[in-house]
Parts: sequence; C-alpha cells; structure tokens
Amino acid sequence: MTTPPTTGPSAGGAGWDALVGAALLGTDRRPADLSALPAPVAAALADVRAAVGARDATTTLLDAAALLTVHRRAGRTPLPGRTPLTPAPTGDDAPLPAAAAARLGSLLARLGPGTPGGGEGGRTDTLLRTWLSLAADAGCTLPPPRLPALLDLALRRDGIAAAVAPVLGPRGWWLAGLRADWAGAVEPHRPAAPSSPGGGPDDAQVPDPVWEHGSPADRRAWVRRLRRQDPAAARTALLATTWRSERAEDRAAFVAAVAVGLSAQDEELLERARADRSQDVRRAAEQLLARLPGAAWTQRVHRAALAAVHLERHRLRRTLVVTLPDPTDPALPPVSAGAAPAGVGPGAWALQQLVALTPPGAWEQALGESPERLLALPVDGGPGQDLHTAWARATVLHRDGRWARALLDAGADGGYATGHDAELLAVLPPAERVAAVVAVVTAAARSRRDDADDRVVAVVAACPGPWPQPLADAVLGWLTAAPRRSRWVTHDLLERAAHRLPATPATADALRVVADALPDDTPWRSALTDVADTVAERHQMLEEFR
Amino acid sequence: MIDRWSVEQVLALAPDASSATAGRKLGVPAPWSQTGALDPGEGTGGAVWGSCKGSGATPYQTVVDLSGPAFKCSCPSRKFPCKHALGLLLLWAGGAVPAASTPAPFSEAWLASRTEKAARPAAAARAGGPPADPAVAARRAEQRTARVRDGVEELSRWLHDQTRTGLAGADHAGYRRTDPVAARLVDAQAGALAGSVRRLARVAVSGEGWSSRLLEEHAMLHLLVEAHARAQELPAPLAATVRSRVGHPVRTEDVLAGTPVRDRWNVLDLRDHVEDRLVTRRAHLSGGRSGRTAVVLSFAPPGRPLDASLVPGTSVEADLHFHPGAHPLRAVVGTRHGDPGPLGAVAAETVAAAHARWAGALAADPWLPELPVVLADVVLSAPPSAPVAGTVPAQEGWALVDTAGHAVPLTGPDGVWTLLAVTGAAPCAVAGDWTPEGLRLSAAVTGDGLVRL
Repeated sequence: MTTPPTTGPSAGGAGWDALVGAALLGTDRRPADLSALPAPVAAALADVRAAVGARDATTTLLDAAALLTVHRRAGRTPLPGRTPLTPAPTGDDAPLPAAAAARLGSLLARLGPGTPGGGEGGRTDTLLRTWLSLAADAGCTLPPPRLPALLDLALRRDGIAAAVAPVLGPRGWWLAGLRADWAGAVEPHRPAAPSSPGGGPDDAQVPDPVWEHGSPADRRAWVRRLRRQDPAAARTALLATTWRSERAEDRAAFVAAVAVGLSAQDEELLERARADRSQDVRRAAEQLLARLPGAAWTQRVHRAALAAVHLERHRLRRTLVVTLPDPTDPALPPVSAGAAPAGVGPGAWALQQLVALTPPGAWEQALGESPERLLALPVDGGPGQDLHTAWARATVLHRDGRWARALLDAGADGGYATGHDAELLAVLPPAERVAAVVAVVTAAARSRRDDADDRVVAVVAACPGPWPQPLADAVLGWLTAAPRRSRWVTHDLLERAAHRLPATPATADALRVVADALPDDTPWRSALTDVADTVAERHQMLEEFR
Repeated sequence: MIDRWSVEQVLALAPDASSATAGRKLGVPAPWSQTGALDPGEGTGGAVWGSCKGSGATPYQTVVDLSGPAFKCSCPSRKFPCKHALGLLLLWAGGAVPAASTPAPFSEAWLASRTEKAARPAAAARAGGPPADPAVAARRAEQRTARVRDGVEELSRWLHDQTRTGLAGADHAGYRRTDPVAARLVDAQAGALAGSVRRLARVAVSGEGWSSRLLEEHAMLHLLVEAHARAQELPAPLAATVRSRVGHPVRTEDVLAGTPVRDRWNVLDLRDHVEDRLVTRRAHLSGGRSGRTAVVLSFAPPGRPLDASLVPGTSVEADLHFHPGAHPLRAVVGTRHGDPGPLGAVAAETVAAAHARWAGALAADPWLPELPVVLADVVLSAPPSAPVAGTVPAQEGWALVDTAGHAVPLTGPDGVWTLLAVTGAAPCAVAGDWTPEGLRLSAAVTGDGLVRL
C-alpha cells in the first residue's frame, strides 16, 4: 500500500450503518445486510469464506465489521478545504537571557496548573509579577512556549494581566487576539503605543458584532477598549443600548469604563446611570458625576453641602456650625447612600454624603480659610468626626494634595482619625508620601502599642515598591525592633515587605541576622526568614536580567 | 557535559502528581543548606546534593547521581524519587545550587559506590542466575499456552453471544457486562486481552456514536481471537504480533538477543499513562539516519520510579532492539554509545506520506492503536465555524495542513495554543500520534529545538 485509498472520511457509510444496526438488535433478530459493503471489503469477505468455509450469520457480521473497520481506519483521506491560519506578524521579539527564562519556568511550575491564589501560590504569584515587571524594564518579551500559560493566568487574575501585557510582544498580542477570553483579559492593559496591529475596533461602526452578540465578558472588554480609543464612540454605543435589559454587573462595568476619558459630554449617560435600580451602579455614577463641576446634579450637591456648614465668629473663638439638612426636603439633591448606620441620624448621614462628593477646595472659597485652619476649628451642631471623615473621602475622590497633607497632619496631631490615612497618603506626591510614611513607621518602631502596628500596616500599603532606602531602613528597623505578638496584624505587611524592600543581598542578610538571633521554632523567626528568602530570590531574578 | 536540566525534565521524574507538588514546594532555597553540584568528569556522571531541613531536628541528606539518574535520601518516604530529591533537582534547575569540585562528605560514599558499580563490566551483571531446568520450563510454557487458548476460546464465545443477542443496552450495563469475562482472561494469563475487554465498557459509555465504536472494538477483538486460533498458519512476524496483543509475554533478554538497529535516536515525546494500577511511560523515538520510528515503553506501579533516561529534546546514539512483529515499532534500548546530546535532524513526512504509512502499518498490524509520526511543514487550521470574527473557539475541529494543502484533523484542542505560540502559524515540523480519530499533538520540532505540546 503506497497511496491512500480514494474513499472519503465516511468510508463505507451505508454498509457500516447496516452492520451497526444489526449488531445492536442482535443477529438472532436481524442478520446483517451485506449488500452495501464497499467492493474491496466484499471481495475480502469472499476471500475469508473461501479460505475457512461457510460461517454463521453472527460470525459473518463480525468478519465483515472487522474488515470494514480496518478499511475505514486506513482509508481516511485528507480533509478537504481547510485553510491554514494567517501567520503572525513578524516583529522585534526581544529574547530573554537564558537564566531569566529558566526562572520563569520554575515560577510557573511552582504555580502549577490549579494552584489557588493563597498561600504558597500567593507568594509565587507576586514573584511572578515582579519577574514580569523586570522583564518589561529590560525590554524583553515572553518566550513563545510560555505564552498560553501566562495568558491563562492573566484570565484568572487581573494583576497578572496588567503585568503580562507589557511583555507580550507582537507574538503574544497576535496569539491573544485569536481568543476572545485572552484578548478580553489583556486588552484593557494594552500599552498606548502608536502601533497596535489589528484587533482594536479603530473603525468602530456601531453596531459591532461583539457588542451585539458577544459574551458578557467580551462586551465589557469591548467597551473598555473602545472607551480608551474613542470615548465618544463608546458613549454613543452605551447610550444606544436598552440600558434596562443589561445585567447589573454589566451596567456597573460600563459605568466604570466611563472613568477613562471622563468629560462633560458624559453627563447624559451618567444621569441615566444615576437612576439605575442597582445601588452600586448609582454610586459609581455619582462618584464620576461629582468630578464634572458643570453637571446640574453636581452643582446642586455642592450648593446643598456648602449651605449646611458656615463659620461663626464669637469674640475670640471661631466655630464651624453645622445645620443638618432635612432629608425629606424635596429641594435636596438625591444621593444614594443606603440606610444610615445605627447611631447616625438621617440628617447627619445625608450631610456626610454631600460633603464627601464636594471638592474640598470649595470650602476654602466659601469659608475663606486654609485647610489647616478649617481642620483645627471646633465643630458645633454635628459630630466633627463625621465632617472630617467626609472631607477625607472628598479629598481622595478629588485627589487634593493640600487637603490630604492637612488631614494627615491634623490626624497625627491628635485631631480626628478619619480611617483614610492610606488613601490620603496615596494622594500625596511620591517623595512626600515616603517622608510621611517613614515618620509613622519610625514612631511605631519605638512604640510598643498594637494600634501603632495597625497604622504602620495601613500606611506602608500606600507605598508601592521598590521602596526607597529611607523607607526600607525604617521598615527594617520596625521589623527588627521586637518580636511581634501577632502575625495576623503583620502578615500583610510582611508580604509587602518581601516584595517591596530593596532586592539586595544586604537587605536579605540584615533580615537573616535578626532571624537567626531569635529562638528556633518561633513564628516570627520563620516569617523573617521567608521575607529574606523572597528578597534574595528577587535579587537573583534581577541579576538574571543583567 | 550534562547541561542543567529544565524544570519540566525534573518534574518528569516525579512518580505522581502529589510528589511533583511537594517537590515544587521544596524547590526554593529556604530549607536547603550544604548544597553542591558536581560536573560530570572522570568516573562520575555528575551529581547534586544538599541537606534539607524538615519538621524533625536532623535535616534529610539528599544525593542525586545525574547519570542514572539515581537517588538517595535519608528521609523515610517510600516514593521514589522522594520530594526532597525532586526539590533539590528543581533548585539546581533554577540555578540556585553552587558548583563544587568535590562531593560533600555525606554524599561521597554513595557516589563512589555508584561509580564503582557503573565501572563493573555489564556482562557480569547480565550473567544472572543459573538457567532453570529446561524440562520444567517447557512444561510451564505448555500449561500456559493451554490456559491462554481456553481463555481466548471463551472470549470468542462471549463475543459471538453478544453479537447474536444484540449490543443494545451495553451503554447502560457498565462494567457488569465485561468484568466476568475480563476476570477469566486474567486467570487465563491473557492480560492484554483482559485489558481490551475492560476497555469495551468504557467505549460503551463514551456517548454519542458509542454503538459504532463498540462494534469496531468487538470486531477487532473477534479478528484477534480468530487470528490467535490460526496462529500456526500465520507468517511468523504476524503470529508474534497476534501473540503479543493477546498477552503472551516477550522476554526482554530475547528481544535484546535480536539484531540491533544502531542510530542517533531523537527523543520526541515522553508521556505517562496510568491504567489498572500500572504507570506506562511511552517514549517516541525517531532515527536520525534511518528515519525509523520506535516506541520505548517502561512500566512501574504508581509511586515507583520510571525509566527517566530518555529525555525529550535530546538524542542518544544507541542500539535499539525491536520486538518481533508484523510492524515492528516497540523497542528496547540496548547498548548506548556515549552521552545524550542535543536533538539532531528529525525526519519528517507529508500528510499524504503519513496517511500511506498508517495504512501500511494497519495492513501489517490491524490492531495498531496509534502510530507516532512527524509531519513536515504543517500549519494549524482553525475550526471552520468561528462565531465572531477575530476570535477562535477552543473546542473541536482543529486540523493541521501541509504545504500540499492536505489536512489531518486533530483529536482535540490539547497543545494547539502552545503550537500556535511557538510557530506563529508559520510552517513547522510537528510530532504526534496518528490515531483512527486523527492526530494527537505531542511536540513541535522547531529550529530552536523541541517544544512539547
């Protein structure tokens, strides 16, 4: 046999079906109909009979089925009409150093196919993100054989998707573009480069097939992508939907997408979302509307907030006087806030929401005082704690650095604790943030109070890595100051320290010296050793990219 | 010079998935001390050692002889290799074990004994025990042949009865239908046949189209029992094929006594398959000079080590001894000539040629379940019905197309995405198993070496 037989893939179709039918019923009831056997099989069957003599009906059926099975298996012919996929664009893939590639393999192996996010998986997860950012810094792209595994991880974890996107390279983007789920995971993180070959809905004419018929995930990804490239087109698409028929989580995702490229033209869309039946959607819309000073609803909110607080001057003493609004007043702009917590009156609760949406700068204008002075004033007519907390929320929403600084200073000087320290720190410029955090951490290292540790955990979270040396020194000092009582409090901080401390042998050694001085079998010792190991592994990863 | 192994290569040694997971956990520097690696040199094939802190006070001392590989660990685990050996090798694969010029004291004695054993002439080991009394052996063989014959006859009657009364309902009968006859075949020492009968129950519950597949399996078993009854009349190679498919054992010594085929054998695939409390490891080899295909099998109960000497992506100059048969494919590795090296040129064929070879192989051995092939310059073709432009579903319907436009369907989507990533849909040689349902991917043979799929 040198050439394939010319029969098609369903070789002996009718003949085979007759045999299967007879075998199902049993030859006692229906002997096999052999008339439709292909000629070569019929001839071979005749040869068998000639060689071994007459056979009963059952044996004949099995003989014929065996001959036809081999005929069918051997007689498949090439599939007709299949077109190969269009090859990937050739691009400048920047290969990895061999040691770095090996490290990636070992990280992926440690993550394993089904490893959940926590525990060992969580640590490796973070190391993988570190590795990915090092690769991005080195201008490398991922080795092609690893792409499917990493795109699968990107599918499960948004943090990985963000870290994978910069190192995908032309091959990776091409591959992700072949699968809607992969594309949906990484497209939102596509670097804003001038050359984005294919894929994007640049010429997005509405309706688009994905938008019309895609899965929920595809549609959300499509809106995010379009919003980045062409906010107006995305707005048109969203306004054209029958908003009410969308699922609540989709509506929330659509509103979230509007945050990209937010402008005054989005008012109509956000007004519609503000009337949503889902509270999450309403709140998200309000947060965005509050950042559009020209919007009608926003102006009503600002007026209502400013009307509720004024400054009174009595001889030597000045006081902020709060007049709680009447929540039943129809003139009050509607704000969705849910029910007031126990112990908070409906008026106080409504005021908190209004203040939290109002830009803090508006108070300086209205009351004619600096943030520092305003924060130092006593409050009459309502709880000052609530007012300060609402101001802190407004500061975070409107990213006002002066107010953030003033609120943090006031909190540190024994003023009201707003519980938003970490978020306020994130509003500060990086250098100033580090200095503020160093001050907190250094103070806590000297203190033995548990709540000082809580504050360290909160503020340190606001400093992305790698930590500059002063902050690293402060955290190292705090880590080594004393064996901590509870790993519950410090677990998060240790995880962060492991990935944000400078990746130097000196740091790892410093940690090990402290750990080795502790008695065996103490949790704090193994915790510090773990941090040292991770720092050392990060150092190795760094070296492998040199 | 043995290059550092890849992580995949290390994990291929793991006796089971839980060992692999435990090994990964230990593949970090934290628990290890006194680690070192010795390059291969005079009288040694290279070694890695280290001491691993466990829950107890004394650390476990782990040594790996890379030439075997062989393992020694002071832990009480009955897994082989244990998680410490795997962890140590992973650490080494990750580049975190420093090179040393002499073994650590705790590893020295064992490594020396290994070296000594390796130096001993192989002939001495092969001499083995005294041969059994030929008369007793002959009587035993005769008894066995009679038992197998009875078992096969019984199977023949069972197949006949099943077909006479009808296969309808087999999809609901489960193993009840097949277990009694499979058990009798085990008693009759026709192990391979017993396995085939047990597979019938699985085919019966395989869903849509089961009756067609079940009739195929019934018919092929019928063909086998008919052939077995007439084994005397068959040409010797076909008779050997029939006997091995029924389950007559073939002694490795006899195979090794056959004429060897020396070649530079490229290792293209290595896969483990667990069935009936036995792990089968199957290696796909391709001769660099002869272009010949070979399959090397090794077996072990779960938790015991399998032969790890054939490493995918490498090649080894060796004598292969093929099992006798009408389509010799299975082989035993005899003498190796030198250390493994990188993959050499791999012989590849067109889809049409592979079709023809598969047809030829079935003509010789109609029971052949799969044929390892290497297809030249093939590109993936996506399932024809992609619902949305620009997206490709991950399910069935993939195919490989060669430069002549001939396409072969794939058995499933496994390996498709890695193949696309590696090749970028440019033509590439692809290794796999040709089966009645289509091609099962196993590796891409790229310019940069083998990529397993």
